[in-house]
Amino acid sequence: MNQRAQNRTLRTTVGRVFQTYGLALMIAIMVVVFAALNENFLTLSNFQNILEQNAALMIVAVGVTFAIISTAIDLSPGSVIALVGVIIALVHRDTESIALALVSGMAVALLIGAFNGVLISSVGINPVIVTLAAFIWARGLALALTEKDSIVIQSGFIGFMNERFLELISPPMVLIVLAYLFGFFMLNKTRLGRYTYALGGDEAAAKQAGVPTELYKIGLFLFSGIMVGLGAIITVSRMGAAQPNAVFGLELDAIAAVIIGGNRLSGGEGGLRQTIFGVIFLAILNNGLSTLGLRDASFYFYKGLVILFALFFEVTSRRMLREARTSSTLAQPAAD
Amino acid sequence: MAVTQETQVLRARPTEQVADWFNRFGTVLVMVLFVIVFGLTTEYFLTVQNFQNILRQVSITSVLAIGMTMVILIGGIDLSVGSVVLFSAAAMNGLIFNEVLPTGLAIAAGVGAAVLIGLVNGVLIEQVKISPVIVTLGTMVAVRGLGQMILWINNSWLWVTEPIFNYIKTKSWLFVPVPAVIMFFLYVIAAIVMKQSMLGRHIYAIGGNERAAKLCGIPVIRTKILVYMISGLCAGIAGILMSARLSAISPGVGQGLEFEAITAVILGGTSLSGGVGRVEKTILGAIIVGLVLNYMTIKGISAHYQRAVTGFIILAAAFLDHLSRRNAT
Repeated sequence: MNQRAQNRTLRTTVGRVFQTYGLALMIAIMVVVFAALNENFLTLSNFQNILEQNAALMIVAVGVTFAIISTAIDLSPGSVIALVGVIIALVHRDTESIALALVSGMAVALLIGAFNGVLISSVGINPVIVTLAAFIWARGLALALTEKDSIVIQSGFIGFMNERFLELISPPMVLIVLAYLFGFFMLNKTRLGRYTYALGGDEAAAKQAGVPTELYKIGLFLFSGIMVGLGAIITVSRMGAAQPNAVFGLELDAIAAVIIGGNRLSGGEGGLRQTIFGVIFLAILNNGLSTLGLRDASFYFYKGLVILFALFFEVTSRRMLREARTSSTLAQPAAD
Repeated sequence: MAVTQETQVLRARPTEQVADWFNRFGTVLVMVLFVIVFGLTTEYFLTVQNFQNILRQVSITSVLAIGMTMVILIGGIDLSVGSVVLFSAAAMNGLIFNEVLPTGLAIAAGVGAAVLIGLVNGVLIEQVKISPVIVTLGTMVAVRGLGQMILWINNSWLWVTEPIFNYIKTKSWLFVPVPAVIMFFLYVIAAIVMKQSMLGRHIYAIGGNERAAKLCGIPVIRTKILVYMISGLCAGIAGILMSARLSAISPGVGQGLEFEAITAVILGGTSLSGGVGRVEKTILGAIIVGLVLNYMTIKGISAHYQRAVTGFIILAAAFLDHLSRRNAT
C-alpha cells in the first residue's frame, strides 16, 4: 500500500471513529470531570434537574432541527419564549383563567411563527434578517409590556408542572418525550418532514417537482412555533412567573446543540437522533458548570470554549470523512 | 419600426426607472423625509445641540457598521462585534487603570486584541470552514465572558479615568463632536479603500462570485480573513469611543450593538447575499436609525418600545430593499 492510500485509510478511520463515538466520548469525559468536581453530580435528583432545567432548550431544539434541515436558521426562539411567557402572565392576571392564558400564549407563538414564515417564504426576505428582527422586537415587546418587571403567576397549574410524580417524573419530562416523539413522527412519516429535507437538499428542484415549497416553509415555522409555545409554558411554570429577560441566548444553545449533535448547517440531511445527543451534551454542560458555582463571566467563557471545541471536533471529523470518501471515489476508476 | 422597438428596449419601463431611482436615492430620501416630519412635529428636534447628540449616539454603531458592511459584502456576518467592544474597552481601561501600560500603548493593546479576535473569527470561518453565524455566535458568548472576566478581576466595574477619553467625550470641532469626526474620518478612508484599492476590488469580486474570484487568482481566503480582522479593528475603535461615552465599563456594555450595526448596513442598501452595496451609504442607514430613536426619546417613548421598533425597522428595511431589487431586475 502506498503512502497516500495509507494516509487516506487513516483519515477515514479517524473520521469515522470520531463521527460515531466522538460526541459520546465527550459526554463521557464531561460526566467524569463534573462527577469528580462535584459529589452531587451523579445523583438521581441531579439528573432530574438536568432534564427539568433544560426542558425548554430540548423542546425548542426540535423546531430548530427542522429549520436547520431546511437550511433556514431561526434566531428568534429565546425572545419569543420571553414574549409568550409575558402574554401568558398578563392574560392570567386579567382573566384569572390559566387555560385561557395558555391558549392565548400558544396562539401568539403560532402567530409569530406564521409571521416569520410568511416573510421568509412568501415575501422572500432572508431568514437571518427576519428572525434577527424577531429576536429584537419580541424581546423589546416583552420588556415594554412588563416595564421590565417579572409578573408572578399564582395557579394550581404551576404546582402541577413542578411536581414529581412517584418521586420520579415531572410534566416537563413528559413534554420532552412527547415533543421528540411528535418531531420524529412529523420528520419521518409526514409530507412536512419529507419536504423539509427536500427544501434543504435543493429547493429549486423541489419546487419544479411540484412541491408547494412556500406552504411547507410556513408549515415548518408553525411547527417551530408549537415547540416555542411549549418551551414558554415550561419556562413560565418553572419560575412561577414571567420574566421579560428570561432565557436570553436560548436560541444559540439550541443551534449549537443541533450542530454539535451532527446536523449540517447547510441542511438537507440529519435528524432528531443527532439532536438528542447534542441536546444532552449541552444540558450536561449547562448543569455541570452551574453547579460548580462559577461567576457569570467564567460560566459563559467556559461554555463558549467547550461549545467551540465541540463544534471544531464535529466539523473537522466530518470533513475528514467526507474528504476521504470523495478522494476514494475519485481514485477508483484509476485503480481499475 | 425596428428603431422604435430598439429605443423601447433601451428605455427602461417606468416601474424599473422608479425602482432604480429608489435604489440610488431611497436612503437619502427617507432620511430627508424623517428630518422634515420629525422637525415639524417636535420643537427640540431641529436644534444644533440635538443633531450633535444624534451624531454622538450613532458614532459607535456607525464605526462598527463599516466593518460589518465589508463582512456582509463578502457574504459573511459578524455577530461578535458587540462583545468585542466590551472586551477591548475593558482591556484598555484595565491596562490604564492598573498602570500596566502607558495610555497610548494600552489603547493600542485593546484595539490589537480586538483585531486578534477578528483573526480568530476569520480563521475558524475560512480555514476550519465553520459557518460564520455559528463561529461569531460562539465568539459573541466567549468574548463577552472574557471581557467580563477582566471586569471581575477589577471588582466588576472599571472607571474610565483617562483624560483623553474625557476629551473625546466633551469636545467638538466646528460644532462636530469628536466621536463624529472620528466616524466621518473612518468612513472617508473606508470609501477610498473600497473604491480605489486592490482590497476593495477583491471584496466586491468575492461577494459577486467567489468561485470566479478564486479562478481569477484572487487570494480569497486571505482577503476574507483580512475582512474579519477589519471588522475586529472597527470594534476596537468603537471600544475607544465607548470608553469615551461612559464613565464606567460595566458587564452589559455593547450588548445588541451587533444588531444595530447590521440594521444600519441593511438600511444602507447592502444586499445580505453579498457583492452589492456601498460603505458610504451605511452611514446614512445608521443616521436614520439614530434619527428615529432620538425622535422617540424626545416624544417620551420608553426604551423598551424603542427596542421593539428597532426590530420592525430592520424588517421594513429588508422589505423595501427586497421590493426595489425585485423590480430592478
